[in-house]
Amino acid sequence: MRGPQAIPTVAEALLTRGQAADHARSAGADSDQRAQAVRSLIRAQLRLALLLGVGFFTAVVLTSLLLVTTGLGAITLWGVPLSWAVPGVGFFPVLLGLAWYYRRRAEANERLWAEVLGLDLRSPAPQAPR
Amino acid sequence: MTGEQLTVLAAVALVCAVTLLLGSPGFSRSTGDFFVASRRVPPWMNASAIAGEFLSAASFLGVAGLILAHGTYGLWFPVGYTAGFLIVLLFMAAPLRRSGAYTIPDFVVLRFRSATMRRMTVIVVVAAGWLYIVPQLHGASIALSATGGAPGWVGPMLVALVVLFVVLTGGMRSVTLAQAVQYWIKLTALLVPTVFILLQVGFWDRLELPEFNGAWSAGLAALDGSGDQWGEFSRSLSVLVALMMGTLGLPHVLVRFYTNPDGVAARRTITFLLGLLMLFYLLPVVLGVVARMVWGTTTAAGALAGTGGLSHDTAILRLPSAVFDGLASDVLTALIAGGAFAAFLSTTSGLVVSVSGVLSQEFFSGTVRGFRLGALLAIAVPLVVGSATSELALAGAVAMVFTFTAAALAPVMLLGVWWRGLTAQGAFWGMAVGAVSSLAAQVLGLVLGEGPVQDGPLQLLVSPALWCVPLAFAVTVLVSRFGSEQPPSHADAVMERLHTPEVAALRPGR
Repeated sequence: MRGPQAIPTVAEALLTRGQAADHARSAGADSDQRAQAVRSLIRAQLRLALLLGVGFFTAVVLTSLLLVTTGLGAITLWGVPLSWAVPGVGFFPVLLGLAWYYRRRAEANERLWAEVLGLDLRSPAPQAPR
Repeated sequence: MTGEQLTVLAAVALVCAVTLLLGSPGFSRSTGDFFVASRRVPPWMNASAIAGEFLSAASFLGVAGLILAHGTYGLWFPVGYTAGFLIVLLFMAAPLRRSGAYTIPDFVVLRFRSATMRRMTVIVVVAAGWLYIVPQLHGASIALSATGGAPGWVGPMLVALVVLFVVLTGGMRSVTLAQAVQYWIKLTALLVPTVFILLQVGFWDRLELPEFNGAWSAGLAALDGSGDQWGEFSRSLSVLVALMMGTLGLPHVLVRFYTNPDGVAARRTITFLLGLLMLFYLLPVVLGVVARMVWGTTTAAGALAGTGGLSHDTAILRLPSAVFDGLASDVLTALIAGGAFAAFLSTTSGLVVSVSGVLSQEFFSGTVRGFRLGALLAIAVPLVVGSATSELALAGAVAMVFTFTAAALAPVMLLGVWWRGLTAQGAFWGMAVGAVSSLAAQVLGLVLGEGPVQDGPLQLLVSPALWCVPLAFAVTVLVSRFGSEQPPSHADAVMERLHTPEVAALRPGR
């Protein structure tokens, strides 16, 4: 590995030699259309990420405000007050759900991008679970 | 030597032996192998490894301690730690993997091509790593002295030696395997005691627990005087911001993305990881609540505090002996102590690997020799600092590091990935303002009043994430927008590389 001055090339970073050649060829195809597609991909991914990230944060803040200001926090569920149960366990399933949803949507956005440019996405890693 | 001390020392020795065995010289020899395990680590393994590395002293001992001492405030730590990885997944996982950079400074160079920015990032990353190692060593010290009866310096030295051996002989490859195993060790080490303790306190018999109602009050009178709801609300919010934004600046966590085969796999890894973290964090939460039941009365807590036997962070180490007698207590205490030691070892080795990677690339021209030199430096400095600093609550100390990375690194990383208009000048000032403001506020806060819970304005210094993270973002954006510099000319090309999937081939017919 070289020192810090060198930025890893595309080939070093992500592709085998053959793949890099294909990648370079595809880059030449239609630069205007390509740039356009990349921009809209980035915009779509950012919108999705902001929606879920900011949404989660806002939901957490509002929920805990509700628990603090109203009597809701004192309601007990199997003997545990909501002001403990919600932050203690309640947010975790929401986090998992958001992660699962994000992964699906983000991959769909990428497939759409590949569709527009007529590219084949590399099949998922062979060791990928399930 | 008591039976408890014997079993604890045996458990700690076993954990160290397993770690050494997993880390013994393997197949990796070339520098590339050494650094990133050749990028051939599958997602489930990677997720276990990240979890193993991430669940530190703060999670293992600190969370339950905070819940015991400060009630619901402590519950926000697991939520924040887990939500931090949601932010990583949403904004960083795939782009960072696709950037092909190995360390945060590498990424900064890719984005800005600026030697100044690189140097500055190196300083911030190394500082964060060092600060993060200190509480791990401190945890090792209190865990071994509270249960094993060893002098305070034994724990940190043991951790340093084991970690150095593993890192120096195996590099990242063996560390990845060792880390993955550590997660499951930690999970078991808390799960088994939790189940037995719950059985013993009669949890399964009656789900209504009237006599434990004291556990649900906001603060325990003997341990925490303030019952102010709004203060607690702003405190909790600040912790949440720090942990959510700080995770994406943790050097030892980000390094793990490079061991994913591609961006899609990086996302998969993080999704898995959220599940693993959730599984784990249920346990300290439950143990913290049980600790409140056991020590919930003012007299019980007062008696313990009077003997000097109860620091928050040793609470769950003391829990088995409060609930059980004899051999059962010894064995369960040993299990928890062994698990805690796994936490110190894994987090420290992850941090040492990433800090030494950064140090060796920056100062020792990226050779294997430089990596080893970097590793020595990475652990020696915290050892010295740790022996000189006062004792902070573990989770509090770790939250301070998160606040630092949230303010110093998160704005530059996030905007660097998503905003083509970011300039090197903007990044420089954002990072400088974030690092200085968060460090200065927290040091000042420590001087004025120790502990994570303070009254009124002092709280804004003790947990400053609520204002210094937005401040760093604002400075980064404003300087980029109105400063004298233009965005780097290659910004578009970099953005394309970060955000487009790895492509195999053109489709036939085009």
